[in-house]
Amino acid sequence: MSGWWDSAWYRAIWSTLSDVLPGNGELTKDIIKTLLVAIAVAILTWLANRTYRLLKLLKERIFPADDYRWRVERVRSTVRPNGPGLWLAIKQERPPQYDDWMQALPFIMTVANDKGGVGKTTTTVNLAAAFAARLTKPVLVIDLDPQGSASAQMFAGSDWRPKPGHQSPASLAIDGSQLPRWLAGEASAARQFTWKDSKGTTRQTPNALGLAAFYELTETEDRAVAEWLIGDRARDIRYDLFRLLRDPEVRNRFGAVLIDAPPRFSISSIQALCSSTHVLVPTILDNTSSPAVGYFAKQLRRHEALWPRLRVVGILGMMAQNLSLPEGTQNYERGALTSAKDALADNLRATKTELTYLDRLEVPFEIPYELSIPDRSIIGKTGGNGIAYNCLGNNEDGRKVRQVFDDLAAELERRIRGCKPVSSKLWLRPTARHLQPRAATTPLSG
Amino acid sequence: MANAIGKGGSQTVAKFLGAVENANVEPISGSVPSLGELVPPVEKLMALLMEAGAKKLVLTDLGLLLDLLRRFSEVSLAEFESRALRSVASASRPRAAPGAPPVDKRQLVETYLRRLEAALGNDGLFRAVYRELSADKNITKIEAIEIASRFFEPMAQSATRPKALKKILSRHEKLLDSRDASKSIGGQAA
Repeated sequence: MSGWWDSAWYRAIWSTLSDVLPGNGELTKDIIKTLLVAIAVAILTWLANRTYRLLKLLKERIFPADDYRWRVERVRSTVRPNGPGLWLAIKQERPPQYDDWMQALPFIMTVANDKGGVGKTTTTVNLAAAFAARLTKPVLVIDLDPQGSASAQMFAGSDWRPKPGHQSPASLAIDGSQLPRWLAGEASAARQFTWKDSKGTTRQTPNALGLAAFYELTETEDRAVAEWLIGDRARDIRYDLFRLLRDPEVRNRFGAVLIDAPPRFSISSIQALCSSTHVLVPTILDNTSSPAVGYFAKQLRRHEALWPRLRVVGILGMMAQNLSLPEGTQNYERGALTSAKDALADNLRATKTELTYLDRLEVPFEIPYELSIPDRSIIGKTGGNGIAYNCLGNNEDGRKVRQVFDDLAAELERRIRGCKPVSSKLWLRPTARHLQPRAATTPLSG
Repeated sequence: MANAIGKGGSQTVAKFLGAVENANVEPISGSVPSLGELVPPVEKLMALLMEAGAKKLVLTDLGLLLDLLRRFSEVSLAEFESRALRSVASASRPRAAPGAPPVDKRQLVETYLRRLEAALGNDGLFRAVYRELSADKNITKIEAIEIASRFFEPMAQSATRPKALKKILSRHEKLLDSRDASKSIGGQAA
């Protein structure tokens, strides 16, 4: 039986030590030598241990193990009491193209307000129809309200609801999994608006396309947020819709994009605002709805780091009942619009972002009262047949409704045109179908 | 400024400011000291007094003064002193006898509208302007209704002066209410 003590190098060390140690007592020398060897082995063992620990530490630094503690901390940070909140706790990672892409055409306008039932959907779809008549390129409407009210109006007379187990186009759009070709290619997911005429025949609206939403949108929203919070999504989901809509391929396909946002700050709303150049705030002209504009403005201001290029294009009075009152008559609706404007301006004052660009243009935040959407039941009650702008015939009601939204589109266009980067060359039809040319709103040539 | 107030014999800052409100002064061009340069120190003084818990009356007067300095920020100090002194002196003379040229009501309404808009949201300043407006004998029912209609919302011509004044104040109060509610929301998103 032999071991390392029989090896040549050990024998050489042993004999060298015998020569170096003084005296002739071999036993004493053996004891001393044994002790020296033991000390050497201990030192080497200690050194090896330290080296191993150091290498292990280096390995953890370079190749981190899947540690769930940071994931838990990430989620906790979003719900901490008095913390920054869900949408601000995790620092935004804006795509590098954000500034460039936001200055390019087309304009994307989100119609939003925290308060429900103020007419966001009615405004969005009818305004889209009015823009479709004015622009040479198609107008895209994205319904991001899971109730699907805008979808029902956009696609009246056709089967637009997703089949069980399938996702709606709006869900796919916010899910971040679609390539620009999905929206801009030949087989685009965007469908043409449809409506039913007085004989019940389904017709299509040229130049107007939409992405439908339905109740499964909430499931997609929840999944996206959950996966993002625990760190399973590599990209910042707040900009998923931005990446899709502002991609050059999609931008070249559409003349304008309008988004119907849900009445809360869900991921759909956040994505809509992150990808929008403008936001329009509709409000009912009463004492309950006007303050809500202030609350909404506060949220816009609070989250402004997410959308530094977003611009408030105006506050729009909805369901106005006193539009026909003669001048010099008591009209509380004008006061409500003024109060809404005061609340909005007060909450946005001194912001460093683009939210108050109207101030710099010296354009009031409120869209003139005369352009408020009248409280005409006919506008809201055509849902079964389609968008009022399209499906009301050429009778007086139809003409009036179209005039209202054409005038509004012209005013919005004027306000958007005021901001040079986006609006200097809107793609407009040379001769608008429903508009009489007016000095203040002469359409630009495409 | 103190010189102007002292020589003019005005009893209150508000009266002095009211007198120089329409002083005919021209904006300066060049590097002559202007009234605008007084704004930052007065703002700092106001902030200091607010922190120190100064009387509301003092703060109101300072607010009025700031309003004036901002409005005439491009006017040179020397120019302002001479014109303001003249204006104050003429304002402190006894009232003209009947038959004197009437007050330009249109300009008065415009001035009040501008001042109310500028003071909106600043409680001390707004209430000072509002008090002055309420006490102004030149503001009759007709002017009050016109101001209320243009400042906030159209009113019937049959409305009374107090009702019109109340309407003017209500716009400011609604803004303060909205501000309070906004504060209580804090960082919560709906």
